[in-house]
Formats: sequence, structure tokens, C-alpha cells
Amino acid sequence: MKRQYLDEIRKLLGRYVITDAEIDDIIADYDRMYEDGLARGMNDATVIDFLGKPEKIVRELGDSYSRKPGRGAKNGKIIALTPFIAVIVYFFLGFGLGAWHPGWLVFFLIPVTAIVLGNEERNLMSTLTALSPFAAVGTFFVLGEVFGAWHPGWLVFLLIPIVGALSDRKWKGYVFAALLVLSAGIYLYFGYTQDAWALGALAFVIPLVFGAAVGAVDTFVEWKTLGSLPRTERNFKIAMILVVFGAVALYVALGIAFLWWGYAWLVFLAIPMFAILAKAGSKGRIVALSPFIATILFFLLGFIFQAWAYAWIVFLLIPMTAIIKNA
Amino acid sequence: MNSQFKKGIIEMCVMAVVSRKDMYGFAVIEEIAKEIDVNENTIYPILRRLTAAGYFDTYMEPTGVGAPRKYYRITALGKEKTQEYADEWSKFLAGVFKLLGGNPA
Repeated sequence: MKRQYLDEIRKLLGRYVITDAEIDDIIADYDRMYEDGLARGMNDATVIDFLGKPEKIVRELGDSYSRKPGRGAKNGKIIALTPFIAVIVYFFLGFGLGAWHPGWLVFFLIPVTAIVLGNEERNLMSTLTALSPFAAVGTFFVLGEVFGAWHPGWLVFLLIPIVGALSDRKWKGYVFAALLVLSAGIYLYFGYTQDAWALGALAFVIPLVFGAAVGAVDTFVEWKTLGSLPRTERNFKIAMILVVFGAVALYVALGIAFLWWGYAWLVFLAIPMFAILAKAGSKGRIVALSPFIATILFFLLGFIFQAWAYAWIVFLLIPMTAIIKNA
Repeated sequence: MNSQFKKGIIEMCVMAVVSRKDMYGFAVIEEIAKEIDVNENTIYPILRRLTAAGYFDTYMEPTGVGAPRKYYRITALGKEKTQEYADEWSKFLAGVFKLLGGNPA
């Protein structure tokens, strides 16, 4: 918990023109103050309440420093242009090549460009973590459409927890990621050589047991510190676990029962949507939800009504929502 | 209360607290939070700013357990500034009480 707290302060300080030595000094000061709080019998949550949230601290400290310039207006222009580029490419793919689906994947250019060009911390792992859902969905569709491998193509969604675990840069994360890869390998081996997919699926117990045992799953669940978190935060974490496991269970159930491997992945959107509903402020909530709502509508219109040629219009919901909310 | 105004008052309190005795960061926050409803996250940045301005200097003191603590000590310049703040504050309060009625004590 302390490490996360200090890392967050360090990350946020990276947005300012401030030397590494100064950052180290500030982090060392907070490290000492945190220890002082623990030594007085406070728990982690109380210490953090006492010292202040990283965003607020850095906002105060930032008064003495200037902000690093962003990557300039050029990147902003590119980000602003991508929706138009995506629409043009989409029409070309649709009208020219008849590839409305999966041509719609070009709309991923919009968030991907924003993530790559808008990452102020220039942190490779945070960029990769943010990109991993898009990479997973893109790869999933290539595997599904081109090779007909919806199953076991869904395994690419493991990319998301794998990248998340690696971004922790701790041995537990590395082992957890390696075990996920290993269990996927075992699953594929049993599936393809013995046609025993269900038996192979038992391999996923290995990373789950490891994760529960040593806390590697704390990429999104801090088991060890759950008890010391404030009640609302603890409830949020527990609800997140239920949503994640619920989404996985529902996806597998819909896939097995109705062979909806190609549609049912939409249930995974419930995970970020739930986090947004729980965490985002009332003003930003609908704006943050709009890409997910647009994707769901687009996909349903495309698959159910075969309206790929027109369904793209729902993506206009994203800028429209932002404009209305910010007007 | 206007946040800038409150920040100015807290800055003055930080200087007053450290001018009485050398203190480490956590203790300064504790001391001030005990008396005033304050956003704790503002105090460390103030300590840092005052140190950079030359009103405080710092030294490390071993604790016996764990890492040594950084203590803040007021400098001659800091003492002057504290006195200046105290005078300004007294004048200000006197004016306020004259307008509102009442007694600053």
C-alpha cells in the first residue's frame, strides 16, 4: 500500500519540471511520514487520509513548479483528426471492399491514438496496459473472422491481466503472468491433442491459486490490505471482483450454451463500465461511458440487423456526448 | 473561507510552530491538525516551500528504529519573517475586531 502511494506521487510529479533528485527527496519525506503514521498505530487508510491523497499533494506541490509541456499542439491535432480518418477508412473498407465487419475495428484508432500520443508520463508499461484491451479485441476478431477460431481465440483476452501483472514490475506479477501463459499452453495442448478442453481448463486453477496465495492478483484486488481500506473502497474492490468473475463466467456460459463466442465478449465491457459508474464523477460519467455504449450499439446493430453500413453513426455519440456535457 | 487566505494563515502557523522548536514533518502536521481544521496535504508543500525560501533549514536525526527523520529548524531569516507575519496578523485582527465588534483576546 505504501509503495503504491509513493509510486503514485512519483508518477504525478513526473508531470512537472522537477529534477529527479528533488522527486527522490519528496518521496523520501513521504516515506518517513508514512512510517511515522504507522508507528503511531494508524492503518494505511488513516495514514493516507492524514497525509493527503497523491493528486491533492502533487497539486499543492505543483504550485512551485511549472508543468511539462505536453507533446504539443501537433499531437492534439492528430488526436482530433483520427475520428475523421477512421470514418474515411471505414467507408473505404465498407463500400470499397465490403468489409464493414471487421472493418469497424478502425474506430479503435481513436482511443489508441489518444492513448499513445496523450500519455503524459511517457510510461511504456502504462501505455501498454491501456492498449492491451484494444490489442486483445483486435486480435480476437482477426482470429475469429480469418481463422474461425473464436474459440479458443478468446484466450487473447488473457493479454489484459498479463500486461497488467507485468506492469507491476514485481516478481509476483512476473510469475503470475508466466503461469497464465503456461496454463493457456496446457489448455491448448489438452484441447487440440486430446479434445479435452474442459480438462485443460483446470490448468487455470494454477495461476488462480498462486494469485490468491501470494497476492499477485492484487493488480486489481489488494487482498492483504482489503481489511484496512475505507468501507466504500473495500466495497468497490469486492464488487469489482464479482463483476470480473461474473463477466468471465457469463462469457464462457454463453459461449458454451449458444456458441456466441463472437458476440458474448461484449460482457467484458461491463468491467470498465462498472468501474466508471462507481468512480467517475457525475459530469464525466456519461462521457466516459459513451465509447462503451457506442461499441455495444454498433456491434448489436451490425450483428443482429446486419446494418454495418449505417451502424458507424453510433460512434458519433462519443463526440456529441462530450460536446453536450462540456457546453 | 477563501482557500488562498486560509493557506496564508496555515503558512503563518507552520512558521510559528517550527519557530518554537525543531520539528519533523509528521509532527508539524499533527500539531496543526490538532488545532485547526486543515487539509493535511497542504502542510508538507508549505514546509518545502518555506525551506526553499530559506526560512527553514533541515537536518537528519536518527530515530533508533527505522530511517532517520528530517527535522525542520527556523533560520534567522525565518524568525524575521515570522515576526513580520505576527505583526501584520495582529494589525489585521485588530482592524477586523474593530469592524465587527468584540475582543481579539
